[in-house]
Amino acid sequence: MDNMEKDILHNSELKKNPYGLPDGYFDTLKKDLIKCSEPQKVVPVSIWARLAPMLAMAATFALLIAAGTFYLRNSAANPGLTEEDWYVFSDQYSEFAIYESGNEQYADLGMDDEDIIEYLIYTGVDEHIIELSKQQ
Amino acid sequence: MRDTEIKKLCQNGDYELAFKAIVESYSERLYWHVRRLLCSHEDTNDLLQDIFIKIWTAMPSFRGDSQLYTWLYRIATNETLNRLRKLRRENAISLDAVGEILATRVDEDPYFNGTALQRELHKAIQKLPEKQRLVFNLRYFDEMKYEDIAEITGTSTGALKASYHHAYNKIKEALEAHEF
Repeated sequence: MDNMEKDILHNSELKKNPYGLPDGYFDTLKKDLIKCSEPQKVVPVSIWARLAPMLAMAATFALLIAAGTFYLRNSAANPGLTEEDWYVFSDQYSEFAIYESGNEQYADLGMDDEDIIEYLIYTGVDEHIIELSKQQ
Repeated sequence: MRDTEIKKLCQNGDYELAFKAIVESYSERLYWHVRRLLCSHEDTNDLLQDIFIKIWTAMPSFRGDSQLYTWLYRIATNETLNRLRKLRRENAISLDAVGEILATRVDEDPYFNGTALQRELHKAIQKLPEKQRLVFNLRYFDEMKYEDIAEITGTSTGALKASYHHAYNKIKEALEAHEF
């Protein structure tokens, strides 16, 4: 009994609700909650509104195909690189720049042209660039 | 309206009438249950709408095997725990940190009008682990039977008794550490 009296959680004040509410809250809440069961109004959707997203997707797809075709045709018609392009690519591929400067390092390793080309392709140099280099 | 009458309405497929009766009988009780867990009027108000939408959509699947009120509390509890987990995920914080955030909410709540002792009690509750917090609230404030809490939480009564015992002692210690 003594323990019961000492137990702070037996203080009846603690069981009271200390949280307050805005005035008239539960009346508003009940009205709002009842609306959860009301059927949602169905807004009629026109055929155009239904088809618009699909048409937009189709148009985007067609545009992408047209742009891709144009690019491929254009690049096939002009396969060569300008001198400026050449330097840009050469700088990007340091391995290729060494090859361009005379193959001496590779020759020291006993590598012939085929070995070097395979190695360059392996290191990521574009075959097209190597081909152009051979032609020059 | 009594629970048995509401259950009958559900079983007869008269969902709208049953739902109105549930709102009338349970909105306040569920509000306080959720509010004690979230400690924020705004969050509780927001979540309560979701809870009642869930209740409305789940009504056709309520077969009346369990008591109506434990079924409603189970939905409200699960939704509230999901909200707390979301809070944790969004802020990438630990469970302890969630407790700290909730305890801060007690301090910052503009609608809190209890005494200093009540404030400390509610802050101590928020710092409990999730399951202990839940069982403590349902047992201490709602004076719910362990069997009913077991139905709501899907836990055995033995485990609930142990959880309540731990929670009770922690809170008692926390309150006794303060001088009131």
